Amino acid sequence: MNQGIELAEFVGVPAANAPEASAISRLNAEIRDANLTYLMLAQQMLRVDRAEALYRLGLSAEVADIVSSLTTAQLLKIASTTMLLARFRFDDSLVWNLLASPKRDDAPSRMHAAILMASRTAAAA
Amino acid sequence: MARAKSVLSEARQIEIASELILLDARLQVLESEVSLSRERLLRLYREIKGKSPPKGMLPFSTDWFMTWQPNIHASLFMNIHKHQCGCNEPAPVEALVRAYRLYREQVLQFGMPEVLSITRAWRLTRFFDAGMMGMTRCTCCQGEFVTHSFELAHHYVCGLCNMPSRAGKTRQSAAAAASADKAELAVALEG
Repeated sequence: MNQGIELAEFVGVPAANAPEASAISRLNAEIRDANLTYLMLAQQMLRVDRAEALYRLGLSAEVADIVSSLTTAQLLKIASTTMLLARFRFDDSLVWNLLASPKRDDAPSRMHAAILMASRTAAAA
Repeated sequence: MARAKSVLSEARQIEIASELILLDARLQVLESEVSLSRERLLRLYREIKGKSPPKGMLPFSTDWFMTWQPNIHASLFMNIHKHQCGCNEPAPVEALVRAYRLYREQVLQFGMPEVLSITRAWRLTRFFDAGMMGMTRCTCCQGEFVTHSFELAHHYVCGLCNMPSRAGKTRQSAAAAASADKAELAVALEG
C-alpha cells in the first residue's frame, strides 16, 4: 500500500484525492476570472456612459457608484471569492421560455422578452 | 424655454441638437427641446443632413400607438425611457436621446425595422406627460405596455400574450420576405 503511493508519486501520477482538488481549484480560478471580467466590464461601461450602463447592467445607482470607484487592487481582492458576483437578473421562467423559444419566426417572442426585461429593470430602479 | 446665455451651455445645446438631427428628428422636436433660434437650427440641419428639413405636420394620433406592431415598439421604448428618467437625468432631452439609442440598438439587433421614429418617440413622451397615455400591466405576463390612460387594468392582456391572427404581417414585411426568397433562389440557380 505504502509502496503503491510511492510508486505513483514516482511516475508522476497524482495521489487519489488530487484530481478532485485540482478540479475545485480550477473552478475557483474560473469563478475569479468571471468575477474580474464582469467587474472590469462594469467599470468600463459606467465610465463611458453612466445612465446607459445602469440600464444595461441593471445595477442600482448606489452600487454603481461604489463599483466605479474601485481601484484595480480592490477589484482583484473582491473578485477572488468562491461565489460568483453576478447572477441572473431575470430569475423568471416566463422570460427564459421566451428567450429559449424554438420557433422559427421568433421575432415576436424576442421582442416580448425584451419588453419584459426592460419593464422589470425599470420597476427595480 | 429660456434662451441659452452662456457660450458653454449654447455649445451643449448645439451638441444635443446635432444628436437629435442625426437620429432623424423633425425640426419641431428640435424647436421644442433645444433653446436655439429657429434660424440656427435650420442652418445646423442643412449642415448635417445636406438638405432642408421636411415640412408639414407631425404625426399626432394616439391611436397609432395602439396598433399591434407600433404598440410593441412603443412599449419597449417607454420601458427603457422610464428607467432612464429614474437615473436622475438632468434634462428630459438626454433621457429621450439615450432611451431612443438603446431602443434602436435592441431592435436593429433583432433584425427588425425601427418602427418608432425619434419624432414619434418624442410625441409619445409628450402624450405621457399630458396624461393622455399611460402604462398598463398585462395580467398575463406582468409586463408594462403602452395604452390609453384609464385602460381597464383588471382584464388587460397585451398584444404579445394574445396575438392577433395576422400580427406583424404587413405589406412591407411580405415584400421583404419575397425579395429574400428571390435572392435565395438566385443564389441557388447560380450555384
